[in-house]
Amino acid sequence: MAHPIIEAQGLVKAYGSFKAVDDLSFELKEGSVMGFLGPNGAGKSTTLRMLVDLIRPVSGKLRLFGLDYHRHRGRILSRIGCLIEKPDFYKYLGALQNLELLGRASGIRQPRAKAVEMLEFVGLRGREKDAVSSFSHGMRQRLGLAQCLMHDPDLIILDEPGTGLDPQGIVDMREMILKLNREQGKTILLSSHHLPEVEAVATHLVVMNRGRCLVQGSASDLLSQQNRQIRLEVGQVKEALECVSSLLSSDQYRLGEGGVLNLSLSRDELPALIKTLVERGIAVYAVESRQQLEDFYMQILHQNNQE
Amino acid sequence: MWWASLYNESIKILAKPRSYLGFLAITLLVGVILLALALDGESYLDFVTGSLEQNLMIEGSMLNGHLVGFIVLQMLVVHLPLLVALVTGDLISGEAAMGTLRNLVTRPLSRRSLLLSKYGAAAVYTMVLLIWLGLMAVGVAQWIFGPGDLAVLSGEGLQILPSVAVMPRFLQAFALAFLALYTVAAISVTFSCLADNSIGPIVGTMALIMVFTLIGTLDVPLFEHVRPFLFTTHMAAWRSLFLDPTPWSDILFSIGVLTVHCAALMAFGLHYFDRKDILT
Repeated sequence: MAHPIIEAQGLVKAYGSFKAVDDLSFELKEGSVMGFLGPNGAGKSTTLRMLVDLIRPVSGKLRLFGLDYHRHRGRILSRIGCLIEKPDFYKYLGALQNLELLGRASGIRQPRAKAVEMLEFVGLRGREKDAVSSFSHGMRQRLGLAQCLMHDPDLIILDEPGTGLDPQGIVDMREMILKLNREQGKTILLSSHHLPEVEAVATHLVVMNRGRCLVQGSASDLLSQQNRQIRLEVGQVKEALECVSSLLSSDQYRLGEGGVLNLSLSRDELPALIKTLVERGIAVYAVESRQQLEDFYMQILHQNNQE
Repeated sequence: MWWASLYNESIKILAKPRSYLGFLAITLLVGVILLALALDGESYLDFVTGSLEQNLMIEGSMLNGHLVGFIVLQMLVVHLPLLVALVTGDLISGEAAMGTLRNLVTRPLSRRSLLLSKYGAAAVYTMVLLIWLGLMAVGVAQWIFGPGDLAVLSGEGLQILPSVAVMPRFLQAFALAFLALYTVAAISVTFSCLADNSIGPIVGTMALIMVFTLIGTLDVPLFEHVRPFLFTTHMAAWRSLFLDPTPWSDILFSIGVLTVHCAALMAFGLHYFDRKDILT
């Protein structure tokens, strides 16, 4: 059974009378990738900052790797790599010098060798001596990931790692996250507004709003609880519509433009529907599933905002 | 880890262009003073010793490397706090403004060790700056003007220190000047913990020096009890080391006041920084 890496209980962070984080509890298990979601001002960044001791909660308990933060700060931070908000470096130093410096601060014995290895990993080999001021945003983001991995952490905390990246950069970042999780067994906490990216990598989800945790749990469990939005392109629209109406309730289907059927189905309903359509000789040209996470996220926030 | 952090801080100071402004300024200022004294030093001395010549006759020239070094130090020590604060006031707040403080604080090194390494780096920078001033003021002056007995004007008149006794006194004076300047560095590093931009701590340090200097110079009874305990009162205590006999009790008191200032500032800085929320 996977051990809990993060155990947060009743965390509160207040600035005056404003509670940025209000009674937040969640748990992150070893080897998982947690998508940390919420609108701007939900308290995500504040929570992430508390996890890496940039700010301290006014109340609540925070244990990482089974250790109490107050007593074992050094041991805990030696096992965490983080990229909080935008990656900032000493602009007057080169990429290699920046990494060496941070490696030394992490207690690495041979920081230069490790820095070279990390630059290779993030695809910045050949730019070691260039001043960071000459780097594009994407390159700085990669360098940010490199500094985060310098000391081979067990837990990686990434706050909006895809911000400002071009499509190729986003794909590269996603692949790096998956590689770190699947090949190296790193536990990852990923905060992002880019829901398709989170959906592609997250095994667990936490959704926050107004400083509170709205839902948390396994991504597959949470997403399977709600209907999938399916776009169905068929040959015989009239027959298909009759078939669908006999199997689904009226609020589950709608005829869209160009004879496309928009369906709202549970996970188990889809195979049965496709099977029936095919058995009745209806040609199925395309079955497209819309992003589930986006619908789930919007639904959760909508419910919360109405309360 | 602390040594590694001190090494890091030293690399950062070395890499920043502003760190060299102090050395450039000292080189230029000392150069100008030495040039002026080389060209017209005798006239300057005549002006200073004019009143004494009615009572005693001076044979030969008092203008030598030791005297020139002493004059240069007197003129420049007042400028050094700004040069020190320019670099040390940026050590924490500059990192906060750049966003790099996040990277440092999330490392296993404790915040106290991190800040202590900043105080350590400030000490190294202040020391190197003073050594440079010493090399320029005393070393170059000796090379140009040659050694000789040092004539010092004190409240009790003109004192002559034999040439062989001057260099040890310069070394002691530099050690005391270091403590005074390190107090300034400790103020600016501590102010640097409170701010998230680099201008604030530098301006704050200079403002504090001005206010304390003003309190020290105003002849108001209210300030008389406070004056001996202000660090600015002891910034020029190094000059007493050239008096004969040396007023050791005054010097020890100055050392005590400056040390207490440094310790109190560092204790406050460590306490504050350890609890500070890093929001930049």
